[in-house]
Amino acid sequence: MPDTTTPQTAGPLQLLESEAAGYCDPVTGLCVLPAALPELRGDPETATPGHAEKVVVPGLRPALDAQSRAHEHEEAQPWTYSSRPPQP
Amino acid sequence: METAAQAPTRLSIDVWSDIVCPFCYLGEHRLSQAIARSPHADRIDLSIHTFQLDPTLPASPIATLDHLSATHGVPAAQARAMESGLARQARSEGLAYEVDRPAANTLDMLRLVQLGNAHGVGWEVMRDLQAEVFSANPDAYAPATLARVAEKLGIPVEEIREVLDSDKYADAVRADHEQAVRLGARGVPFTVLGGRLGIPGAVEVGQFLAAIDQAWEQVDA
Repeated sequence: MPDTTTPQTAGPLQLLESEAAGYCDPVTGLCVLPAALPELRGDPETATPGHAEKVVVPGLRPALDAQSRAHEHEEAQPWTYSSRPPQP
Repeated sequence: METAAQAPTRLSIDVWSDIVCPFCYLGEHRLSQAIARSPHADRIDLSIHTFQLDPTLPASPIATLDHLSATHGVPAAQARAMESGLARQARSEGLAYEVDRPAANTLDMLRLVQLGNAHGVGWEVMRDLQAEVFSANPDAYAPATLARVAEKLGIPVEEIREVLDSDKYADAVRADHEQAVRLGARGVPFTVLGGRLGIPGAVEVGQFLAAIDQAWEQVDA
């Protein structure tokens, strides 16, 4: 049976972000509705080994850090949803 | 004798999700559709991981809209209007979605997903429990409902009871959460393809499909 608790990462993790992707954020406590439907592409050559690499990919907006993402939530007038950081 | 070099290429897809997360519910549905349409569908290994969004939710169910209003200061009418928009979207994609549904702590459900993973049906446990919640079953969070869902998927009753009567797999839920954060997740759903491509959020079916193609090219290179 495969070990489902420990996915193997084959080196760098490249994050592909899309404005079409609604998600729930445990830091800001917000769920954000999608805004657009861009095409999803990515360039694995831009990834850096050893950690997650956020990249600009054609048709997609640049990935945002947590601070700018939270700011974006305020500007986008999103609806809120239940989310909290996990308790230790 | 088959060697590692001769083994067929396979693509792993790992998804982090919570039961009460509407975009997880939607995103998993879209990912399933993308996988079904992919020419590589029979060589994809799909795994579900847990990510508890709100450990402070009470064990006893409360109205989702009331919780949204009280917790985040959103007027009830605004919460309802925005939830209704999501409901229209979900229904247009063939999913049951009730605005007036219960919300409660999901830890027991997520521990049951972990048990499901031990039996190879974690994804199905997640989906079936979400279906109970988003179709507004008032007893969605009741132990009897959790047991019924898990038993229907073939998990032995005694193992279900053992999990529901203890905190078994709570550490696995926390470990999953921490791993998602280490991988760069800032929320859920969060999908990792081939251990290389991370997709935050519920992207469209076509986007998932394109990402599967891209990840496949990398693992098959």
